[in-house]
Amino acid sequence: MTEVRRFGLTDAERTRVEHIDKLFSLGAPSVGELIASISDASWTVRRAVVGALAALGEEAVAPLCTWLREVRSAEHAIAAAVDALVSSIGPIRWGALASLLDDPNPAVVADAVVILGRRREHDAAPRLATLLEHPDDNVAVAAIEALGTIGGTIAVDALVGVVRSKRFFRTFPALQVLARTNDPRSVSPIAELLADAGFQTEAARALGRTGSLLAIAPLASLLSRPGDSIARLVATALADLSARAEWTGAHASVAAAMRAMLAPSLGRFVAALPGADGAERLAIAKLLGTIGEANTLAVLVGLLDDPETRAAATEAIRRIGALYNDALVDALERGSASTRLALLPIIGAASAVSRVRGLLADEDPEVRARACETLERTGDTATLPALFAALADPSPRVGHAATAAIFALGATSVSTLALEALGSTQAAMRRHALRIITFFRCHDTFDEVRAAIDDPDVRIAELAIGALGALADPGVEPVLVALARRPEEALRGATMRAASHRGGELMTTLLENGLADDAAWVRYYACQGLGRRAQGGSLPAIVACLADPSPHVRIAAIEALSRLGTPPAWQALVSAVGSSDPDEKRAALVGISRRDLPEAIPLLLEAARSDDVATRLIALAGLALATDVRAVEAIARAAGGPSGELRDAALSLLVEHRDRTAADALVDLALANEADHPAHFALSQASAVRIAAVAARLDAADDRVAPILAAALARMGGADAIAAMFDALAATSPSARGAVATALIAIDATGARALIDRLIEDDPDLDVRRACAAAVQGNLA
Amino acid sequence: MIGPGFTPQLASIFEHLVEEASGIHYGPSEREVFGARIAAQAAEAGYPALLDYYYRLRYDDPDGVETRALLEGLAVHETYFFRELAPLQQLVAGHLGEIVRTRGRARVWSAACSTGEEPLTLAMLLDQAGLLERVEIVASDLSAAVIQRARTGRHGRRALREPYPDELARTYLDVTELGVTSSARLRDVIRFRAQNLLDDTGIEKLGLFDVILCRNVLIYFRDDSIMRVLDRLGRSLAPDGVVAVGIAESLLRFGTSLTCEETGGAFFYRNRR
Repeated sequence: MTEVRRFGLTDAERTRVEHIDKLFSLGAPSVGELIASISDASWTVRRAVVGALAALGEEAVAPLCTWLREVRSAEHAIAAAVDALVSSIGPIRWGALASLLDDPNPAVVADAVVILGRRREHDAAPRLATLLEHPDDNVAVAAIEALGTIGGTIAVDALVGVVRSKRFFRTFPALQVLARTNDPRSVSPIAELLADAGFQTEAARALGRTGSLLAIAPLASLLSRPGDSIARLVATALADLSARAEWTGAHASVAAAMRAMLAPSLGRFVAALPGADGAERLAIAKLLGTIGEANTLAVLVGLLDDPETRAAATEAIRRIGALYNDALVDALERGSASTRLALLPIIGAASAVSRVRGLLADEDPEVRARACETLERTGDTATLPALFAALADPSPRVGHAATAAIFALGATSVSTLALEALGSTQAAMRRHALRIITFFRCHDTFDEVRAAIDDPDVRIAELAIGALGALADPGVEPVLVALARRPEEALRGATMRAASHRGGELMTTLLENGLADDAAWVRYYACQGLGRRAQGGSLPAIVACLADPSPHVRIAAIEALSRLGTPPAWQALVSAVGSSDPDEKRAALVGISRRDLPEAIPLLLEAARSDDVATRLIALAGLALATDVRAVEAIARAAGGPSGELRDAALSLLVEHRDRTAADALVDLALANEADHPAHFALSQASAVRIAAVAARLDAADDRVAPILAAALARMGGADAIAAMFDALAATSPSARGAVATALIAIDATGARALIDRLIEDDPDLDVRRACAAAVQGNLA
Repeated sequence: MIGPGFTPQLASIFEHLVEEASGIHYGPSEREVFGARIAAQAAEAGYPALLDYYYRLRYDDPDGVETRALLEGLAVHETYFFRELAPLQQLVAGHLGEIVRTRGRARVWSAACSTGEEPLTLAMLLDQAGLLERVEIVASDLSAAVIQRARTGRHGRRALREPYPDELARTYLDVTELGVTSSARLRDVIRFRAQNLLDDTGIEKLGLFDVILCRNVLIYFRDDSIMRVLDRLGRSLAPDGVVAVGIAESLLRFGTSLTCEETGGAFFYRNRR
């Protein structure tokens, strides 16, 4: 019984939910019975009741209001009634809820306030503002939250009044809500509370949450007071402020202001570190990344050993380390393994080469691997001998990192060094040497490579065959033909791999013969090789491989078919999409994605609903190539879904998509999600189509939407995005004009000040004039 | 098939495969290192293309040899002597001491011992308390390579981190510029073995334990794997046995058969009675 409840509905619940569905289908006459079920003990059943009442719209509003006023049988039922009214479709007639606001029971009034706030009923703002003076604190606090959600001038003015009233139970929540309004007028009243010991801490935190440039000076002024706890409080608030400024696009001007105002206090923050808790150390590390200097690096390096601050300290070092590379290199030698691991990816200067080279002998293989990667980044080909020496490292990770670095650095000496390495007595070094010879196609190495095929180490022999396949020497193909008859399965498989990279009939015949080999891996590589040739003549042989007893050979056949554009190949792929083996299915999905055929869309849409993440990722990647609106919708659904992995991949696909529908979907996602959702970052990747999508939506944006869109354009930066912001100063919506003006001032856009001064004088909307004046002057107009 | 590089699709199938084999979950934040290690292992196994290597693991590894080699290459061996010492001291002074007094012997399992620093630290404490000869210590890890290193008693210089108890270190460890060597007498009483925490049959063969140390391991697992491991650990506990997890770990949100108890400032888990 417990198991049934855990993974689905009980039979009794299912019966009740079905009854609710029936009642809903009867419409208005069933409202009374639906409301009677609102106190059902099962959350699942209540959720169905809420959905039905919300979907009935206006028919259910008055009875629900009456129930809230007169019945209120249990807390869970009240919550359900509130939810039903919040999500009720269509407009709510003001009268029904207004009557609740006058109810003598404060709990009823508070519920009505919550409903209006969550529904963002702008017209209710003046009435909600009066409730800030309600004798019951719960009602007043609910009104504070509701006004914060609704936003706009009436709300901001009312909240400022509450903050200045210094009434304990109301001022604290009003501080938090006001800080989130993104309105520059909020800074001054919050800053006034810094002088009051009872409100100082919360006011400082609230100033941080504003993300406003105007909040830096009042926070910095707190440092005139002694004590480490003040320094920690200011650091925490400033770290919040920086994070928020990243979102609004104002991080550059905020960082410049912080450096100007806080540089003299650097020592205060460093001195406050020893007594700081984890969150405070994190904040100080972030702050030092903004205002730090060379002598701060040692402090930040000390924070690398602490898992809680490692990421922030690394980022901080990355920000300031470029200016002080020598200090970083000194820290490399003194630091722990964690320090070296964190610093190596940051170091790129040529002056660091000799010390980084020394780390190729570090006891930690991951440090040695990162040292190879760092040497690669320096671009210094004089490091090649050291990297070749690292090929013999006992850790495969290090050997491959060294190989990758050699690939990237190149140079004429590589061929000679590779041949020397091939003559080594160490097997690992010989293997890597062959990889390098393959990569660079070192044509003067035929004899040595040919000799390596006879190496008793089969992995060396395999790699030698691969290297041989990459060489242009006329002696290669006869050798490959002979190798295809060798008794060792691994060598025949390697021969098929080598042949698949070479053209010509002789190699095609060799591959076709490989399909009949006894060994599955030989057939696999032969099938792959024929697929790469994309020659229709191989189709029957490849189709025959779909019935191969080895699953990976069947998959190779599916992959090969995806390169053949014939109707029978398409049919075979469609059939494989229905396979019960997830890998066969995925290979087929990749294949049909390549065709760009309308018939592929339904199959990909179906796969995009799969339970398997990898299958969904492949389907979404296939849909990203399509212009069909259903494809964009499916990607957008994944981008708004709960799976982080799918969400990130889908957002990337939307960013890469060039259609306006994808840009509109990104705007919708950003507007539907909180500021920390990655859709906001995705939307701020500058492109003409996204600028157009944001600008179009800005024109009629309300108080909630306008700051989000203005911030997206500010984060994009660049001439086109800034131009769109200037255009939006003439938007139809006063909210848009105000938000864009505030954003332009925050990012210190060239030429913005003159235009905004004109708005302060001429804009027909009082709110816009006041918001612009506050942004420019830092105080209320 | 999926394209060059370590794409999200490739990452997803490899992550699933590794999690199925070991319980260890690699998420998007570790993808860069995960991809680099997978690529190194694939090349070592003779598969230049990652997808070919995946098919080898999935369809042509009947004895799990290649999968074990991959898990070895991926393993994180982050541990050191005297790590989270207080709970071990509490166990020796309390629960283990009590069991030895009442029953004469006790059994401890260090379930993810890496290169052996945790069971060796416990052995030092037991020796100091005069209990070493009466406590059987089984120490296991997923990686056979690190178990081999544990048996040698040779540890890197990072196996000893400040601050540490000087007296214990002087007594049981030989510390030089090159590294740390642990006392052979301690190593000899510890039974090291490779053991996958998802291998129910293998764990069952280990028998019941009075103490199971499973510290700083479950942080690498996702919830469903944690539930599976906890269920298995619960069945390996003696009736009054306890499980110890890392200081930063908590099992309370899982609602398992284990219940949390605080003893002398340290937290342990017991089977519900």
